[in-house]
Amino acid sequence: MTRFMFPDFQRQTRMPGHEILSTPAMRLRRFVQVDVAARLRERRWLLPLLVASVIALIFRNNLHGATSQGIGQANSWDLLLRVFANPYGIFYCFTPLYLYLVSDLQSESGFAESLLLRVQSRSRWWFGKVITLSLLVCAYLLLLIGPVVAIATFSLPWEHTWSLPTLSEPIKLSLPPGVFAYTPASAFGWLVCLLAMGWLSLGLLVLVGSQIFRDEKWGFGIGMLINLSGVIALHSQIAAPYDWLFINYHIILGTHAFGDAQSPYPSLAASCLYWATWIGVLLMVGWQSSKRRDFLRKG
Amino acid sequence: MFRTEFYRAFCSRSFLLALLIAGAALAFGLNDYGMYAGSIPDSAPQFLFNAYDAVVRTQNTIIALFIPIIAVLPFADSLALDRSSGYLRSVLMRTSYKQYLSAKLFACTLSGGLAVAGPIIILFGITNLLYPRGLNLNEATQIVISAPEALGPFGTLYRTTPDLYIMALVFTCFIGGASYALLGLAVATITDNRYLVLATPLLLYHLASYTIANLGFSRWLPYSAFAPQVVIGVTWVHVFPTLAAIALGSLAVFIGLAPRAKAQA
Repeated sequence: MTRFMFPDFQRQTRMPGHEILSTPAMRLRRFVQVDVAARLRERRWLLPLLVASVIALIFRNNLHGATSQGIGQANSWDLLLRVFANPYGIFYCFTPLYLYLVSDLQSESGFAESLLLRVQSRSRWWFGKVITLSLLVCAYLLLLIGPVVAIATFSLPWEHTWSLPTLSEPIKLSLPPGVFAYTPASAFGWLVCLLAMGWLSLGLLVLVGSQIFRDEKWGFGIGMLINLSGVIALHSQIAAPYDWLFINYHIILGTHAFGDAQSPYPSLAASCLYWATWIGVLLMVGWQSSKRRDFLRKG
Repeated sequence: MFRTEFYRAFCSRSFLLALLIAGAALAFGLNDYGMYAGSIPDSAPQFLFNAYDAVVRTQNTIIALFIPIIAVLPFADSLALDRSSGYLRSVLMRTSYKQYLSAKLFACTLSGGLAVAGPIIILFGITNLLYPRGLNLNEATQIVISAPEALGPFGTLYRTTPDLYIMALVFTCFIGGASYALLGLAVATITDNRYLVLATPLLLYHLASYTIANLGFSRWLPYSAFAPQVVIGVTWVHVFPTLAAIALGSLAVFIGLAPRAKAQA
């Protein structure tokens, strides 16, 4: 069809910047570049910087208050973990903001069909969107972590060990004592890994929802509903093993076993497997539904 | 113009969807209350579970998380839709822009307020059918703390005229719903993206709640307007100035940017 409508399209296409897009990989790369740049240029992508800065400043003041009580000196990891390991922060602040930013990734304001013609394949279009989403998750994490690291660097020391206030009151970081077997850096690394996988899964769910309902509002609604189910599960006592189905057990660092065989919580590896399953299933569902998507129909 | 806008606001799938979401959230809360009521011992006080406490407890559950989306769903995105679909140009041939905006403002405010308050009135009707109308004032066995300072701005009414107290809660919810609907309308003057119009008030509500809670000003939480029993000591000072600020700020943006919206039509 494309070849019939645009006879010379298969041979080579010149894009702004005079780049010859002759191979599928190059077309996909260009598609992702254009898509990511278009998203990140939107002013609302400044919100993570603002929100992370405000929250980091609030938590830094709280930490200074704790330090002045004479328990010991807090360090930068305390601030990072207080900001990002807090379940309420994840469910009420960072996840809604993330969903708000990525939920209209499917909407291209009538531009979708022309993009599809350029990438020349529905599968490539879908996987381009997945790559875009993955890059946006990374960008979102950087935009959140960057200001907190900057504020932590200016106000607290960097250390390789857990601080005394944290060791004396781990509950303030919403962490179980088992986490102290890890270094703060590796605990934070695991936290970022869980957040990245969780947000990628939720983003894929939103993408698939928007694609199936042809409306980004539904995608956002589904994402918020799953987020809300995590909030409800956090406050409820759901019987095992069904509790493991909810996202709160897999996105919050504090709800992990950390090698404790008696713990009711999953291990970090089990959570990674949980998110990998989400990602795998949603990739397939999205791929199949993209094959049937009517790109000419709006809304 | 007013009749058309009111018809569009109230006889729409979006209004129905808002009522459904509110209804589902309230049903979830009522079920939660009912689970306790199902195991009443014989020795329990007569009004241990009653129609008033059922409303208060139900209002304290997940519906408070959804209020902004319930308020903006009926009509807040209509300005963006009218502009992007070209409907606004057709309207301007028949009426003045000022009249169109006034009708839009009233329809949006009323539909937002009613989408939030209406289901609570229906809930009160249902709880009157399910539970006895009376209060359990024995503080040792109370499900809902009846001290006035624990019941929000109109807490003193609870013991004397509980029906009026519930109506005062409904009124507060109406004002809150109307304020968030206005916020949505204000966002619609800035962008044509209907998704952003619907999602922005909800996001701001949650971000503000989280930030205010961490600052230690729990009484000022946006939730307090809809579930004043969550925090002890919430008064009208914590509820109405915040809602007034949201409504007036939104109104200022709406009036200030509406001419730009017309130019883009």
